[in-house]
Amino acid sequence: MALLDIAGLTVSIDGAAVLGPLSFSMEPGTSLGLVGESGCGKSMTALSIMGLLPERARLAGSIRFDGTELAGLDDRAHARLRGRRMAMIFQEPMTALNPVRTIGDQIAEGLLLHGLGGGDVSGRVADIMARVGLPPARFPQALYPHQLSGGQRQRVMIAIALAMQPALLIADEPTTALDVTVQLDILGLIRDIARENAMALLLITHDLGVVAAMCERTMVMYAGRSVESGPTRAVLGSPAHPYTRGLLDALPTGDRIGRPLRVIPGSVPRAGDRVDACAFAPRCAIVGPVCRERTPGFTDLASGQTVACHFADGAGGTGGVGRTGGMNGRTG
Amino acid sequence: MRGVLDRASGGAWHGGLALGSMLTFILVAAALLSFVWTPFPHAAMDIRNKLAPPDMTHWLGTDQFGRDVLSMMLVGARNSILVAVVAVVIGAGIGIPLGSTAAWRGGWVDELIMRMSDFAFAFPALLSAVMITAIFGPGAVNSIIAIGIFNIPVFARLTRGSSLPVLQRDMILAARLAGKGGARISIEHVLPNISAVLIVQATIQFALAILAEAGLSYLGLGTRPPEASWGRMLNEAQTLMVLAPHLAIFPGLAIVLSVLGLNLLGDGLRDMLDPALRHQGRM
Amino acid sequence: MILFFVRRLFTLMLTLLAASLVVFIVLELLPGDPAAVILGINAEDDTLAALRAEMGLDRPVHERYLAWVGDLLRGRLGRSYTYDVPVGELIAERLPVSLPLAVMAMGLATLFGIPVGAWAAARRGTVGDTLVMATSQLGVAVPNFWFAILLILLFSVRLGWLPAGGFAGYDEGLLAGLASLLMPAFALALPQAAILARLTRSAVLEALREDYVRTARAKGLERRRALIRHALPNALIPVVTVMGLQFSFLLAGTIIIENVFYLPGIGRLIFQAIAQRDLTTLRDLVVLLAATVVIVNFIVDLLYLWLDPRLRRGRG
Repeated sequence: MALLDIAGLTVSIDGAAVLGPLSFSMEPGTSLGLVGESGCGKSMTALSIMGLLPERARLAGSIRFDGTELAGLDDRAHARLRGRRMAMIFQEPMTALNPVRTIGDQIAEGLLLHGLGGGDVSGRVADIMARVGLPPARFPQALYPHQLSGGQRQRVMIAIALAMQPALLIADEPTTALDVTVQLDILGLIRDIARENAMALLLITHDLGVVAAMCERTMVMYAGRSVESGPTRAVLGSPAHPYTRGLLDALPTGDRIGRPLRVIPGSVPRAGDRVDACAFAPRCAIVGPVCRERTPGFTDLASGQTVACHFADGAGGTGGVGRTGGMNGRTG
Repeated sequence: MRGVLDRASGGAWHGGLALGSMLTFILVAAALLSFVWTPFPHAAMDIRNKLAPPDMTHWLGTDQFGRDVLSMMLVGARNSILVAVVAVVIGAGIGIPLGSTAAWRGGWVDELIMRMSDFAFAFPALLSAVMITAIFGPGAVNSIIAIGIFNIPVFARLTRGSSLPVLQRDMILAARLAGKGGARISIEHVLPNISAVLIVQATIQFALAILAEAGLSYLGLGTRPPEASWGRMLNEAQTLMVLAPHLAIFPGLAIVLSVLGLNLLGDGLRDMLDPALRHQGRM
Repeated sequence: MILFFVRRLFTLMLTLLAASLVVFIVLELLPGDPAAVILGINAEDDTLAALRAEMGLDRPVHERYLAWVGDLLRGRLGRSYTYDVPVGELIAERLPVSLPLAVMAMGLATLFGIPVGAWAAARRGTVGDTLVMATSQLGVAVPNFWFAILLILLFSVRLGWLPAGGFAGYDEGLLAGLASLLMPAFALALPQAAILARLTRSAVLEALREDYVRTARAKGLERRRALIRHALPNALIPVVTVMGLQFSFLLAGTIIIENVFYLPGIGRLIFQAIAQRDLTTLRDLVVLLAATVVIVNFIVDLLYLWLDPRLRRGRG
């Protein structure tokens, strides 16, 4: 049974749609990268799963986690799953820790809350801190967040998440706010910890390089929807959606050094602007008339990807609403 | 009451602004009315009719000398406003120039002015006001001075704090290059930019001044007889509480509604003029 | 951290010195000769001169100031010339009224203001929140002496539960004494509680928007628990600053409230000293009051260190 199964998830704030409809699933112990520009709904997806959407947000559709339906769950019931079965690491380690409480206290809090500490909570905390690279000899539990660097704080965040051995670990741009030199360390730590503890990892990033290194599967999001998903190797190696190709082209790679970076013209449409059309059409290089008339359905490709593009099969215009059967090949 | 409870989603009290304006308008109107008309001469005694409960002749009843309570309250509104307005004008008139000077001169001038206002803040204002009125004798003028003095640091600090960011702007540099002096830059460029904040603060200080005046005249240190004052009316009413509770109710209500109105007006103006100011609450 | 203390202590001393200077100068401006006040208008010139010499009034101003401050520093207070007892004795007599009154009032204001403000923040936008905000807006506008009169009207005149004024003393037990301070404490506390409630609410709302609250919720804390355990401790930092200021308002408020309830406390003593031109008593009292305010603010600074570890010295 899938650990996480999201079907037809939509989120709206004050009546304006900001996410979805979105569907995907994750098996236990697997890793999935959510990729896209800022504002495409990646973080909203994570917050929907965690039950931490802003109060004004309205959620519809289904999120099944561990056999429990999360949509419509009240805060108390959701809180019992949070931390214990699902944990999240946030983007801003500088502000994500409480400045007036010690790090040991903040790591131990979840354990105590869910009754997972056993007899020796302090010992557990010390073990966890050692595992995330904060050896007790140099990093007493009585330290406060302001006494640590950004990378060290992110290690504390990982320790908080790791403490309860959750089945699902969500990391939302965990290294964006960090120095380049510590980014790799933190990413490596997250990957190793997820593997050692057989946690499923949902990694949110705008960085395709990070996904390539970290995740078995990748889902590219645009304007609140998935445009392409599949095994990371396939999605990045032979991208089928013009948006994915655009993202890859925008990457600075070795052979293009010295040339100006390519960018995708235009910007992500505002939430709520969507009509019956492909949301990417205004910025698309291969746009055709059909793109402005219908929202593309999903096409499964032989290489393993699922793509939402009218031209995914090379013909154009055949991909109607709903899933089209396995078409072969892809257009360049 | 609907106005008070009506609340907009953004957290602003639009109903509060309306209610505040209305109450403030009533206060000012009552004060103006007292110049041309009161039901009875406010100091006229009528011993036979003393301690009368509210009726058709004396709408709010009479006091222990048979004076008409409504007439005294109308005149009291006038005196409250007079004391409060002059006190706030003194505070703003001295505090704003001090704050401006501190902002553009900086250095030891700034340090001196700010330490002085720190000191004034640390000292209980009411205690000092009581001392001042006690030393120079009770009366409206002395209570105006006493209340006014403690408005100075409030305006000085606020003016300094709001001027500093304005002084960083490019237009100030342009004015400096044009050879304008600090005082002129403050008047022509800085003050117009911070006037909204100052007006809001003045409204709130106005409310505090009304409260302070009421307190001083309750202690017998404010407005002298035969001028009517809400605070003294309450003082006199206290001894007659058992016989005529209405004497203790109406002047108090007048104070509460005036202060409430001005506070709501100030908060409403603050929200309307600059939503970002909302969190810099008052003390 | 030690440097912080030294600097605070230094400014503390400076503030007190400035306060004593201001008080002395202001009281010097007082019209009338204190010796003449004591002896009355029919006093002989030589008796007057003798008393002036005894009181030290014939010495130059700066000498008298230094002598007075020197006495204060050695803990020697003056002698009241209306009561003809040492000021220290007067204070010792009245402190058992004023101190419990101020502490009770501050306690009541804190006990009501902070939880109610946090409660309103947790239920932002609901009817309960709106009612709290409207009530507190009203509470700020009510003069405490009028609220006191209303309390007397209700609980003494109508219901007869509590005495309308006066102080029972502690002879019949601590509770009997404190009971006569209950209404005055409530009257003093009301506006402060209203201010604290409004301030706590906005500080908690601000803290709730912080990332660390989301982290706490991600750990599995329900909204309420995250508010109490994470938002509130941070929100208290600005609230505590204001509580320090409030204490000085509260001390000054005792001047009025002790008059409303005819309580023989420090506030009433100050008021009487002013009315009777009792200079020695007045200046000693005012400086002591200023010292209390300054010391309370010093304690607030210490509380700050306890509440906000970022101010403590450490690594990083």
